[in-house]
Amino acid sequence: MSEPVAGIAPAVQTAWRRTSPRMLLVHSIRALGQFLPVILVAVIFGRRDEGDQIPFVVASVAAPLVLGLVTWLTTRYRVGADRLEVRSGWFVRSVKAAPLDRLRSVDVTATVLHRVLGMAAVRIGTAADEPVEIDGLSAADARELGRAVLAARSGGDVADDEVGGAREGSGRGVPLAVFSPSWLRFAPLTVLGLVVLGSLAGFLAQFAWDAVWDGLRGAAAAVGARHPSWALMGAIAVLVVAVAQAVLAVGVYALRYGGYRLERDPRGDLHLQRGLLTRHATTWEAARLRGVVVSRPLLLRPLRGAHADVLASGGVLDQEGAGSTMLVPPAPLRTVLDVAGEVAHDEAAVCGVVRGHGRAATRRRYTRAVSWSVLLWGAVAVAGWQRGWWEGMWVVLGATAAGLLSVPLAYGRSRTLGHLLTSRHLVVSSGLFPQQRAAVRWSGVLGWAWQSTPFQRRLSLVTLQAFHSAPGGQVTALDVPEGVAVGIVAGADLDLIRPFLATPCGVGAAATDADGPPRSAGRRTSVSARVSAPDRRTPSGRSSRA
Amino acid sequence: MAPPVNAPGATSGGGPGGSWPGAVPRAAAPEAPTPEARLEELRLRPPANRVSRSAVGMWTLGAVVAWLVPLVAVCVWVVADADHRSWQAPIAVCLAVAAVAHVLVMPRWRYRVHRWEVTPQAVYTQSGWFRQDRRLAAISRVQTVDSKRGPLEQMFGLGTVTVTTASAAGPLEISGLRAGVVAQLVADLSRATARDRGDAT
Repeated sequence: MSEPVAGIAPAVQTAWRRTSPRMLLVHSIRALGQFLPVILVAVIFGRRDEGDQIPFVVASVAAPLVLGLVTWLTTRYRVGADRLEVRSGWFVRSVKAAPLDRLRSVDVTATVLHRVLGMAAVRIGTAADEPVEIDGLSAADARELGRAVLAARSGGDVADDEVGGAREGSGRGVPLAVFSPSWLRFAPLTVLGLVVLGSLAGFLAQFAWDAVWDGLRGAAAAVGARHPSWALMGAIAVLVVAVAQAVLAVGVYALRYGGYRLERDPRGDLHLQRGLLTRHATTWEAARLRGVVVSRPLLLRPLRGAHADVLASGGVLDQEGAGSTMLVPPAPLRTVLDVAGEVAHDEAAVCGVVRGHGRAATRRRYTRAVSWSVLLWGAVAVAGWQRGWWEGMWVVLGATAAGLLSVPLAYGRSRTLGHLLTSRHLVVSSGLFPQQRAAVRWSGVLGWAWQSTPFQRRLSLVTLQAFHSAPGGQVTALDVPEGVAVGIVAGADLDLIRPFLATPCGVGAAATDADGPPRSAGRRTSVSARVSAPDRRTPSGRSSRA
Repeated sequence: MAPPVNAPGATSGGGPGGSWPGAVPRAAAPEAPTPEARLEELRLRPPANRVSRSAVGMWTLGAVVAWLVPLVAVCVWVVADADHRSWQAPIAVCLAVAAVAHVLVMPRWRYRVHRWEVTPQAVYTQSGWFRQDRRLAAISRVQTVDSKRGPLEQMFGLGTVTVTTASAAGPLEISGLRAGVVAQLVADLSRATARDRGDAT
């Protein structure tokens, strides 16, 4: 972030601005909140020696307050004609100067505390460096900052209702998607509940293990078993966990995605808002969008649900991890496909039929799955031979079950594998957990890679990778026939690859062949006679043959 | 008659052959609609230039040094621990065979595979030995050009050139080049990328 400041002559010196002093209240409330469990434990359990800890507690509450005061005193920011500068720190003074044309996206977050006090935190993503964060702006200042950043970048004045971020549903653009309570039905099938349960489990294991154990015994007794077996206790535990995670998931989903709204303003920028208690608002500039990724996790498939992410260069990395690239939360498949197609300006990329990679690729899915099972079985056999079979009966059965299970998994993976080249996007479909369909714009591809192991070379397959500047860095198509992989790049960017092609006559023939249908690699059959052509797959997983 | 393979794509794009020979220069090109790739028997030729022959020696030495650690560990185990003789013999033999095979085969295979080519428009590299990797990037997408000379490379007078794009995942590496070639390449590429000013994302 240390751009050389010399050489960029500041044209107009705008004034340095401060963050809001109400941030100090937030710091103090947060500090108290951190120590509330300790204080409560001391009060409830009434330990006498807690008295010694009071100075410690006071110091620990006061320290963040003092820090917050120092931060507030020393933090200043301003938006110049061509850059955003943030000064902060006292011991270590830092000046971050980010040229405005490097700023990618604006993310405005307001927790409950922030909203009660009328404040927000702004995080502005840059191309390569860390994001610029300014916490504790008043809501009006946050809006003003977003407006100034957008205005300075677009080189003109921005009407107030086009401001990114903090404004709530002002109808400034075309709404692409709005939260609907019926989406809550997908919540129990996501991992949201399990994550919360996982963190609770740690707490329970430490403090309340006996209570849990007694509860399980009581439940088993209620069912009627005096001396419950492990299986019964296990089954009850699983049932309790399933119900608990469903309830928690619905709650977390409502808190995290309630009030979700995705809009596109007249300039093409995307504005996303979500959250009931902590309000997040993210803006992606149109020129930074590189594609979309639609994911269909296995658990959501029975209810026909999916979620979508956006590929945008220089995304703002959220602390929660998933926040800033999410385009559509778990929602009905139809909605997700519509939104993704709108965002990408390319229905075909999202809904078009994907072409498979041929029989060799399908066989490889099976051989890879089976070879892992064989290895597992071999290890089990060696162990069994050493130790005697009867002790390891369960292990043997487990290995056999795993081996048998891998076959339908391989079948599923072979059916979802495919790619598609539309007029604007390269689409790659693959995977089972989740099934993903990634569409990246040709113009956003920075480079290509063709990778192969000896097994793939023997079958004339390569793994094609398209590099892009969004988080993740690449889109990977597994086991593509070699000619097709080269053909994809030729279709996307012929000028780049033409000097490196081995068969110039192929290129010449392609150039003159203006209107023929595309042909499969190596076979000059027309599309209608697809006797041995690869399968094609619709997004819903049903295969269709022409 | 069956519809063309990607009917949705065909209807939303422009006519076929829209921006092929005689295409608009890349820097100015908007997203011109072009049709499906012609899936002929297209193949890539390997890049034109090889790396330096002394890279074979460097890779051999590197492999020997890397194998020393597990071999010494196994020797220590054989000497110190007499309880597991039945395990030690096959493991030691397997390790020794693998080490010898790797040290003999890998450098020569790698020398045959490693190639590079830089044109005014693109950088094209091929690397690896068991798992081979061909990478292609346009000069206009290159963000940085770095060179690196580790201790082994300095011993043999070689170096590595790394070309990065704005993608987190896509550096192009050419290792085993002579030091003079490295310097020349870095200078050429820096000049070429300076010509194409812009975001390169």
